[in-house]
Amino acid sequence: MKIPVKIKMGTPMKIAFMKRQMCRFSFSLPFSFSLIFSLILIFSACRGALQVDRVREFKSEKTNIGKIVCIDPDFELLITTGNRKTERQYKRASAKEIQLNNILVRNARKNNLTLELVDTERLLPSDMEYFSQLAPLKREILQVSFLQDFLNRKKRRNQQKVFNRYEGGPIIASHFSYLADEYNTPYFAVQGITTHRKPNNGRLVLLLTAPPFGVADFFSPEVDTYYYTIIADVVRAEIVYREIRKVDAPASDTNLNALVYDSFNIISQ
Amino acid sequence: MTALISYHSNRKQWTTDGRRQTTKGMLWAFVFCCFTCFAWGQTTGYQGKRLMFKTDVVSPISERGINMGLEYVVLRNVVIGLDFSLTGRQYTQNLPTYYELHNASPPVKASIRDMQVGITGQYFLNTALPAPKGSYVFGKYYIGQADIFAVDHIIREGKDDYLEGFQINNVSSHQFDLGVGYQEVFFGFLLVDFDFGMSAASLFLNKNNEELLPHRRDIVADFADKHGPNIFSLGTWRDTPGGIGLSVHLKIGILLF
Repeated sequence: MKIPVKIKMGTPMKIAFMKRQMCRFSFSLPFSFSLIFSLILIFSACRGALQVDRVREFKSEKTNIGKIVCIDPDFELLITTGNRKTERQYKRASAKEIQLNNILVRNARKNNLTLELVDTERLLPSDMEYFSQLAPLKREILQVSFLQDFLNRKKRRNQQKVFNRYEGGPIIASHFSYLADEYNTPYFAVQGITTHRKPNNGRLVLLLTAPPFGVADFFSPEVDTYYYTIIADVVRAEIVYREIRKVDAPASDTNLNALVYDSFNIISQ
Repeated sequence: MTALISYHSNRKQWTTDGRRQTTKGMLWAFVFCCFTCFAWGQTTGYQGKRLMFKTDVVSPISERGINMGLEYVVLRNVVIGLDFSLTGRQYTQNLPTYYELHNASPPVKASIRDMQVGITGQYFLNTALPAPKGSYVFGKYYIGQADIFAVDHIIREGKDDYLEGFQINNVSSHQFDLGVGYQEVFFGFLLVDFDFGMSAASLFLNKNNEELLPHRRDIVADFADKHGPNIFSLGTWRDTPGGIGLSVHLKIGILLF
């Protein structure tokens, strides 16, 4: 039978123990530093959000999306000052809209999609059918998308992931189905960009922990860019695809190219 | 996966100290898993371009070497790559006996010439903006061989002293990097990548150099704590010579296809 013996530490043992503790401390200090440092940087780094909802039938192997009609893409600027009493300012950027139109068409083509873009800036006096046909459809899509949600029998709403497939989409009015014959496609899209310019506060934690990132953060404007796409199938009379993504970066050409290409890549897959 | 399991069960390699040699197996498993991701991953790249070639512009200045690599977008937010690194840094030695006699450091500088190959993995944090654009966290693991040159201070009894150079060749070297970075694409093809993180390096002197004198091992360990990190060393981090500290890289590259 073993009897537990309590060993009393003598001076040499204490020194050895202290040395071991010191070694352990010197080993863990850089790692602790690197861990804290990495965590701060990761949490303060650029993060975005993406939510893609689509019905199961949209882009199954049977469906072949060859053409999409894009109804007047919007480019809006939202400016806030940070003061409570000041109002938000909305602006519609026409020059940026032309740039967005080109990016949309170019990236759709790269994904083997034909995008027929109807732009109100380029409408002729003879194009009056836009106001009687496409403008009401755009309003309908936006309203329905705001008021209704996708139907999912299997999952609850709070279990939403980045990419979701549903049984059915929000239902739009069925009298738009004639547009499928007129434009040779049942798919009509509402796309747009909203950039939100915020007051630049800078992040003090970032400045203290990683000065190069912190200094860059102080001088770069704080801008959030939102990109959305809603695609409706006018024959099925429902919204079949909806995507919203947020990036905390300005709407530069390279950012928009990356966003729009990725969006069409998801649609075409 | 069956191939991977049979690979692991058939290869029973053991190191001299009795441990199973699994580093190579793990390396191949990682590469294998990454390539299987092509089949099911939602991979976009930057406008469909996924392969990148990059070279570091800080390495020639800070490490007297080169650092270049190929990277490939394997998943929506994941990039893997192969890196090649060649460093030839020189270090001022701190020899206490020499300093006592001459009140200066040895005029001849020690050097570590390290040639390494490694794998790198990057995880891009922004879900909305697919890789290879935006902020990311990265991990790198390098293995290689180093040639070390240093000087030893020898004092003859009752006579003068002198410096004797010695060289240790084919020293196995390992390095591990962990940090964060930001990559930007210009004009659709030009890449600028800035990363910042912790580097930890080890030089395994005893593997091929049993005849190495113990005090010479200490001489190497004394300056090798600066080996690994390229801007600031926090000191040594384990029993083997090698340093831990902060590293910065500024890479310029092109998106190939």
